Amino acid sequence: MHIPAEALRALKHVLGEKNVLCDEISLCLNGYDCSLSRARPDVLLNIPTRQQVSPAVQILHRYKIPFTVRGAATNHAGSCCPLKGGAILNLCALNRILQINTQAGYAWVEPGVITGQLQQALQPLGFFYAPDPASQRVCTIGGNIAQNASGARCLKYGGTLDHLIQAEVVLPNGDVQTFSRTTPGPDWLGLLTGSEGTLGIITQAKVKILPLSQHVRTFLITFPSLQQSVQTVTDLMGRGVIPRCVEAMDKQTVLAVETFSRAGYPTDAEALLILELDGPLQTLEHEQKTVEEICHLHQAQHIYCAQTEAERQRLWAGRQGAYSAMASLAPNVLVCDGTVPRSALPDTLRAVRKILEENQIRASLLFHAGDGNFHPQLIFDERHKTDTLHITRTAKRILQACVDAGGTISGEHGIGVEKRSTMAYQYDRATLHLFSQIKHAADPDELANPLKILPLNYEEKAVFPPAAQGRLRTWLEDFQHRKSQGKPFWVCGTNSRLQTQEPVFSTEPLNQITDVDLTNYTLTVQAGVTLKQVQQTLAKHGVHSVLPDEPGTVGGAFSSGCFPDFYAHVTAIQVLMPDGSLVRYGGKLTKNAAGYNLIRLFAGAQGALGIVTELTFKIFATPQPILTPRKDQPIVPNCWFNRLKQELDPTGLLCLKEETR
Amino acid sequence: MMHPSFKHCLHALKTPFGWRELYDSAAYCNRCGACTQVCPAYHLNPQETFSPRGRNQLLRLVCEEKIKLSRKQPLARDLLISCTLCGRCSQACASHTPTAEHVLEMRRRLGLCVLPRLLQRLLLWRETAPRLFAVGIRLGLWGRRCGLVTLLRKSGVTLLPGLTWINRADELLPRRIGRWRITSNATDTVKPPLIYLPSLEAEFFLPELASQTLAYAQREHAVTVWRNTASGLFSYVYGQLRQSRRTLRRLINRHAQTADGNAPLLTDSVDTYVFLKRAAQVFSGNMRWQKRAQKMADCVCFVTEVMPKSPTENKPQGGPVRLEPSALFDRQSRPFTQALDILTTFFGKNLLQCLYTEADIPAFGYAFTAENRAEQMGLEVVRQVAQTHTRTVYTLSGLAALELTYFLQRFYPAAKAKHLVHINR
Repeated sequence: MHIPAEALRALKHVLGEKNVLCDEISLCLNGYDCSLSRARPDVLLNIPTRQQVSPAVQILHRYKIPFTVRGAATNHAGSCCPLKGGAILNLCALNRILQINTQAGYAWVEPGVITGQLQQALQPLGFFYAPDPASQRVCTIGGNIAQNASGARCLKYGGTLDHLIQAEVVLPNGDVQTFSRTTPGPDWLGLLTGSEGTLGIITQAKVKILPLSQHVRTFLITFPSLQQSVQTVTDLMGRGVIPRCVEAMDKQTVLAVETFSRAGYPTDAEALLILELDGPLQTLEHEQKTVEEICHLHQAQHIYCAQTEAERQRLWAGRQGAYSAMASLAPNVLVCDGTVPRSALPDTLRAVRKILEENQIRASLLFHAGDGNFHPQLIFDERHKTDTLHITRTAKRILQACVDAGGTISGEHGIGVEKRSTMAYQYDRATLHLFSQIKHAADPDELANPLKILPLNYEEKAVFPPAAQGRLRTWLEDFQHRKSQGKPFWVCGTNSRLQTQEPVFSTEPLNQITDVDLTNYTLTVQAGVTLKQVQQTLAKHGVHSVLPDEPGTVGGAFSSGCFPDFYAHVTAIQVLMPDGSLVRYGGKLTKNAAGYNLIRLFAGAQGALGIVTELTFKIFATPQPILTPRKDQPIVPNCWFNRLKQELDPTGLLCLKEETR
Repeated sequence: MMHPSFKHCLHALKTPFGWRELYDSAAYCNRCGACTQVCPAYHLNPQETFSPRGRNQLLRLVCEEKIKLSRKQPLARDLLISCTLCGRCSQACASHTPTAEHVLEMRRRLGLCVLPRLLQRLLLWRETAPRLFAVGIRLGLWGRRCGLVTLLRKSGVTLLPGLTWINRADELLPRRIGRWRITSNATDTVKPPLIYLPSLEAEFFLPELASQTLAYAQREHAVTVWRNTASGLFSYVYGQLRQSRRTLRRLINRHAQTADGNAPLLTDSVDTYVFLKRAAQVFSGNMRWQKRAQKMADCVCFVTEVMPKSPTENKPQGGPVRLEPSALFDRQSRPFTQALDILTTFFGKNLLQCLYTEADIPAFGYAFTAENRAEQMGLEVVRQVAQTHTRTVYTLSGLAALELTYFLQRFYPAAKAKHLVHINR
């Protein structure tokens, strides 16, 4: 696209002459990342300080120039690829750690700070930043937030989303907005995390830091089958042992790694686990015994515990060498990323191997056994078009296999442009339409990282949703009736929090407990199920959750905003939108980086954007600290809320709680 | 941009995974970005254009004829000159993509002269007219002693374009230069003698480095010194591949004629070591010379081979020490592990383990090709030395020791830099 001379002059005025580049070399070298996609921007803007982001974006907005933010560009999804041309905003120079507060447990960082450098800065202070993407030595915190990156430690500590406390964001029109976890209302930070720069640009972030574990034990365990290795992890979690990370590989990957790096892995087993525990010494001793006991129960062939740091490093060297082993064989390695419920992992891995064999593709198969996330690494030469096409088709088949197993097309890499067509495998029309509405509300001019995440022509390609059954169907009919009357109403559960005499629409009829899954440790309930009912069901199965035994419904606990720490436990939701469509998001998954995080959008929204009808959340084998409710606070609508409300509910059918007062 | 003739460029590159043609080699960059954070040039200028990944992608685009390069493009020149050729990117890369070699090839194919022309011409004499070169250097040093350089500096002549390198050379070179005292002692004809090939700096500016290396070598070997003998590294790095081949051929012939080509060839500079070990690559496309070069490369050894592996008397005392792994192309070959072993034996816990990502002194003549950047990188190294309270920094080349000494004297005089051979001093 053509950049007007006036716009260039204005940008040079704001950023300085040398930071606005239009030469051929700069443009050609800033339109790619670690994916297969490439595009050519029209101007490169090197941002020297974070204060210059907003004025630069204001100019881009004024001249309607699309822009794409670029950090270290290490993502595998093509998120940094400027599909519509326009400007590339290089934020790599914003690489200062602004503040580390060990007493309050947070750090303020600029988006260009390298994750590994933050770790290095925290280590001498006895702290660490929990998200550990494999590329942490080179990727940036801003990129991690944009992609909701996570790594091996995600199982115990969570991903980037769980460690972001506050962020300063430049919106696509150039306005600066601060989003915080403590503000009542939807979890905007949660929505922003994983949005791949399509909703705004993070200019500084406050992230959680944790005290470093003094003691770590690393085990190498082998099993005669994949099934047994995964069952071992499930049983460990059932006994309350949550490893810091559980990395795994199948036999063929172990053989490839051994040939390349000679890490000393046993090659006679079908599955190999590298399991790491951390915590106080006493707990570790106890957990080690449990690990050994459960491994023996599942006929582990070798159980080896690293005795020294050097041995520990050697065990990890093999796992880290898996990518190198593949990279030495062919010019390109396509790292796929899919996540399935843990119980479905063995079958999915078998299906993936079958797909690879059928297509005669050499690949290694690594997986995070704890959270069901796996990464086939497919080798090819992208210079051969047919070869590349064959590989990308195979990768899509693998993602389809994930979706068929109840999983997601991305656990931690994001969607970008590489996987946007496969979004239609996973989501129905209503959900994809909601993603589109979110983007449109936040960025009506389609300027921020355009053409990402959403598949083109999704209305034709999206999967068909299952029809509503039973009580939900009757309740939906009731909703349509209320809607046809055209009178606004308030959404409530047992009306224990709202306590209004105004016209309400209750979720009380939706009071079924749909599923108790003791393999993946999830509970699926309809929104009208009371907290007491949940406690009774959990007690019956001998499991626990973080929800208290209080009046009110699960839907209320989620939507009212009284339990913000509960949001991280919710893995799937079903929402009735004001237009009458049903939106489904998530599954029995620990991580999901496909699309905008709808759980966080409806969490704390008090039913004003849509009505939550069903929730899936994590349950535990051991008692957990029970959440204490926060004081009921009305939502303070910000610009995003107002625009979203206008986009999703233009007639104002669903009322906000504050309106009752 | 592509030069039509292989006389001036390489057929193929030798990588840990076999020979690869230039385009293939560039295509093995998977754009993962693992190289970016270890690149000292990228740290100074965090833009994709100045990253190893950017350089590889540029070469690829050039090979695919999607972009045209010319030496008149200031950015092309800048990004090719900014590479220190340190090879840290290749070490970080899963497929060991030889980015430094890619940069050299692009420089050659563009005909880019990265050194000041006068300096390049003078230094090339070492390969084309070694005697004249030696006379020139001695004259220069004599003039410096007589105050000629000071006069030039004061008169402002050294500020003229193309002459600023005189300032830098004057700052880097030691004020007092000793004299060679030891010569060859090869009399034993039963065993092939060890051939000592002194580096440029050991030959002319650091004779104590040559003396100490010789002293170590002569403990167990009969040593023949090949004085004022170039390896071809200079012309390889500074754009004249044909000259490099000529110089190497001369060296290979001379080596082959000594003790049936089986004599160990000792060097005190890790840069020369790495270059000679990869000499076969210079003859890519010429099988006969490749084989001969490989035969010589197998005989090349570094000074760590002849050094004592443990202290002969008391362990040296003093504060923390560290190894400065500054070198061209590579930081993983045998001399580095041997040097670390020696330092561990000598200093035990006083040896600081340098982190992989830490900066080091730019390799081989960077001070003259990119003066401003070299200064910033030097400061970064000093910062790390000061942060860890290091007292002595050991290097594996005299040139790196000279450069580091210059920066330490200016900004952190509590520490000193010396070549590993001076470990006992």
